[in-house]
Amino acid sequence: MGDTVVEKETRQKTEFGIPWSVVVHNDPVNLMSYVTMVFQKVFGYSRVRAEQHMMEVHHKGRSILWTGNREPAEHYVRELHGYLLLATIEKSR
Amino acid sequence: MEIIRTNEETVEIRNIDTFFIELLRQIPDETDPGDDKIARGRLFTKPHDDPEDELNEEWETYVEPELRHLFQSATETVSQDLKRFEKTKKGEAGEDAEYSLSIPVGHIERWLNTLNQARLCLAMRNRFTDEELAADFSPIINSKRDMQLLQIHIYGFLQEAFLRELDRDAETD
Repeated sequence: MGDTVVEKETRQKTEFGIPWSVVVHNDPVNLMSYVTMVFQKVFGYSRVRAEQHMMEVHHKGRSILWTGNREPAEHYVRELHGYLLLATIEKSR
Repeated sequence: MEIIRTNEETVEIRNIDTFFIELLRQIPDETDPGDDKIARGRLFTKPHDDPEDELNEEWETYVEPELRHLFQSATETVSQDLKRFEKTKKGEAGEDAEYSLSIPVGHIERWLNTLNQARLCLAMRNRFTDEELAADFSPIINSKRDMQLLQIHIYGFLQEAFLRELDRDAETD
């Protein structure tokens, strides 16, 4: 039991040290204008930048919206899920 | 049906006939995924692609209840707003009656959220394909499925109108 806890803590420390990406995936239901508005609200992006990401999602199926520490990345994904967007976090390549 | 900004605080949906009033009243009910696992799974998606990642389990325990509360709260606001239809035209001699509905501008984000829940649940429950959702709307309605595709389009039209109002506010700030 004790070993498991140590291993978990080590893994978390390692994971929090590497960059994580917030990825938004394409969804045929959400309106493009709605997705743009959400990117502006959640990330504080300009209309132009938000639209660029929205178009990338639309044409390529996904867009990386933000990269950084794991904790804020999880926070952003939670916000995006609150707006019902398909969002995940993944280790930055 | 048209959507008008009546003043700084209020948006009004006008010229609502009995058909549209019914569609509007159905919005809160349509947000319920019921027993449909795919619809429920779409409302509460996993944050990590790897199903084994422990974050998915933590999310289910800690984040999903928050999201459920957020969605229910938005739907409750819409349900309350939907109790305020006003009759603006009597239905006489075979004519439809008409109604209006005033919505506080401060509720628009909750309406957007609730309409999105409804559209996603309708799409998932009916297993609409990407092609069906992207196709121009067909005026022929022969089944409940056709009707529910129409609902998705009409709720989308409402979302577009509300987003324009939010845009207008952002431009004047």
